[in-house]
Amino acid sequence: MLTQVLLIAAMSSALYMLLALGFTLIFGILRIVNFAHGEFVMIGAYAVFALTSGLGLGYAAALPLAALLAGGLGLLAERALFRRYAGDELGGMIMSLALAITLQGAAAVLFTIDQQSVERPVTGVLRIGDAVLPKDQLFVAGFALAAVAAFHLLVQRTRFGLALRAVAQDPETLRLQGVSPRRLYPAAFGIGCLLAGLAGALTAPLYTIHPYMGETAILKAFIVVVLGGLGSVPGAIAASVLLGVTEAAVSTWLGVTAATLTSFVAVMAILLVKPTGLGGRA
Amino acid sequence: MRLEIEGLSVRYGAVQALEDVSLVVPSGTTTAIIGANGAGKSTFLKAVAGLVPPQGGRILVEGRDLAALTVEARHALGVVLCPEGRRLFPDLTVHENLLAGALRRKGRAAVAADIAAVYDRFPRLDERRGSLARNLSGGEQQMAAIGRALVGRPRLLLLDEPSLGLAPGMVRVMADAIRAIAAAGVTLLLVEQNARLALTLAATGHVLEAGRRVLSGDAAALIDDPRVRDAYLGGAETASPASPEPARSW
Amino acid sequence: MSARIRSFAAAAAGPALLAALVLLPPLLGRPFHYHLGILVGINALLALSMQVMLRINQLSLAQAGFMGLGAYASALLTRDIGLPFAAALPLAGLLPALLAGALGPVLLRVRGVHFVLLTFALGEVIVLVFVEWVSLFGGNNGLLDIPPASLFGTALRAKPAFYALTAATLLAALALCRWMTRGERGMIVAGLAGNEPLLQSLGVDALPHRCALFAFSAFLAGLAGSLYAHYFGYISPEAFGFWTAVNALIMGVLGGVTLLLGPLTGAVLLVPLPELFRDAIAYQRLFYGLALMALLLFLPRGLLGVLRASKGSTP
Repeated sequence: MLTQVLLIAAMSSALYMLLALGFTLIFGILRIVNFAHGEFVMIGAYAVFALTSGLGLGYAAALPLAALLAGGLGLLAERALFRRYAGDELGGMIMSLALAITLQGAAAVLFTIDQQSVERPVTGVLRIGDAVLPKDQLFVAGFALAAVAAFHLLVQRTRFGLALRAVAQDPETLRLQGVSPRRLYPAAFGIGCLLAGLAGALTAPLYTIHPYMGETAILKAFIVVVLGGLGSVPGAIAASVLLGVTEAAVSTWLGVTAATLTSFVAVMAILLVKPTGLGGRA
Repeated sequence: MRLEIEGLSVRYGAVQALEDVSLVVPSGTTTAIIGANGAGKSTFLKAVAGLVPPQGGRILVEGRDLAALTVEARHALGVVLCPEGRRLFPDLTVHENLLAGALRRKGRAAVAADIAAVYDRFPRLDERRGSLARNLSGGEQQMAAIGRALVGRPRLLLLDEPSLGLAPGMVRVMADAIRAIAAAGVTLLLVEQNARLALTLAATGHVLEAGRRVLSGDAAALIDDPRVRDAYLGGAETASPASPEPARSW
Repeated sequence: MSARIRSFAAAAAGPALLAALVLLPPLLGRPFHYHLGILVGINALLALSMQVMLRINQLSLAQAGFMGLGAYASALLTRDIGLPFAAALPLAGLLPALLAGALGPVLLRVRGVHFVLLTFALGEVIVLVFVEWVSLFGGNNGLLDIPPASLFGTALRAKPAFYALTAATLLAALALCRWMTRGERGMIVAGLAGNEPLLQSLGVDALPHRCALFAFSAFLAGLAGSLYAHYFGYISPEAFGFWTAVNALIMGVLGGVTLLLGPLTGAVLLVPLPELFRDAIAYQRLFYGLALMALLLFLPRGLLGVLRASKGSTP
């Protein structure tokens, strides 16, 4: 029992990291609260559905393609819609709401509002002692954690990552080093959406797919990011683990609603004590 | 790198920060701009770097008008501003801050060599290369800020208040560093409230008052000018940090 | 001379627009037009409540939750306790106002995006309580058989009568908002939006004023909820969720965030939109989203904002 709860906790923690890291990256760089972030999760899930059921591709090929598609669409969205709102938090937020509505509408037109599902690429269970671990959950947890590790390396070890961290801290001073923040926006937005799309593509075989599935995702991303501090990468990672573990525990023993309520109350409580979140600096 | 300013005017809303300022910084020299707080010194450097748009006048580098160039494009030409208050990236390490200064450049080896040169110049930075910038002392921050500017390969370096808030010993370290930068052939435009320090480092000096250039001349002559002495050298708070400097031994 | 005419025209334009909008349903005269008018009025009230907070640069996504509180309060007070509607309507406003007033001192310490996220969470908690507290709020099924609104012993079953009630409530709310933004009070509101240090230097303590405005905005949302409950006779939690708040926000932005008539104008434009797309129900959401994006891209200051700008540009 405990092992299963731990696996669920690990899987949801890793998925929340994917969601929240992209969300917090976009906010950190462009100062835009992307309310359409959940819709990029939905795009990733539908892309897997379309590529496997429609084009007959294998899941192994569909997974990266779906993430890339979400990332590419994010890049386009930054170009066409968001770059004018850099620094205008309210305007960017409203534009992202309009984009969320549009993407939901587009999904409803393309795929109808019926729920769709994707066949599980991995089946069976792994038995360790008396613990029974579903292999598909293990795969999702492992892949998501690997993606988080790759993102971490990108941000911490590359010149591009250095520029991203610098622009999040002080865009004007980065300009004084000869680097234009605007040149980083599309990539940052694209990577953020790619991570969201990856989360959607990974979970597509586990859950049902529908045009409004993004709302649950954005809710989780919000909670994590607010807990961890907007724009803070270590905060997002810590908060993902906190939320994943709490949810897994509370929902196992008290039910799913209790888990949601607990996380909301926790967010409110933490924000009231520390308005900038766990990892935020005043 | 020769800098020519013709009739520069900048206003922030209703406030006229600079009015019809003209001056020339000859290539390979050090020029100081002194003046009281709010005289427009920092605005002047920001206008040259491209951070504030002028309402009138021209800024020419090697005869080329900078008006159409962004901050980033000016940096690529070699016009580098080391801003007031250091403005390091607080959550990057010292080493990462130096790397950030070279983000525009290609060629890892050359960048690494420049960073090594910065560590040679400021051994203290080498010791603290892994520390976050937010945890540095004021003097260490100023070293890192100058180092970061140098890694950007400046041809015209704009230094805004490098001695602000530093202890006398640290002011001497900065003075030595600035002299070394000038000796390497970088054209320097130095803005300082510490007029004595600035005028001992520079060949030429200009005095700004309420956004206007009121006095210019040979730096050595300005130090002895009674108007400068009364307004900018007489006050105890400006004189004390620089006073231990042997005035004209270089 | 022409300047005086122009300034008179500018002063008369607002009331004229308001009168034209309010009189539109009676002039058209069909029940369907009254129905749309009522929906516009309720939505405009909610959008107005959101605008109150936007005036001090705070976006509150809890307004739909406050509207829900008003709706449930009004429904339970009339249906289960037997209170007359005339008493339930103001109580439906006061209840969320009390909640906002109580939470305000804590919530309003937070600014910007964090306030948005915090009020988002508050809105979700309110809806979650409606869903989970089944014995009182009926869970996902909501509340049925809410008695119709009645005043002075007459039930306002007919659409024109309920429309009159909605219009009167909206006009009263607009008058309150106008009163709030005039004179010394208006200066304080403007100061809360942009220059709190100035207020502090004038000896005005900002937080109580911000709390009062938050409570006032919740009051307006509660009124909208009460009207909604008694018009439809049936309520359920999902009507007061995130997207209801978003729609109200979009109405305000579409009309013009800083203009008194902005929310109403936005509601007039957006509420009938689904009716236009009725034949293409599958495409409704897509068209709605695309229309919004186009408006944001091409009319970033809202429709009234554009009109006012072109008017004001003449010296």
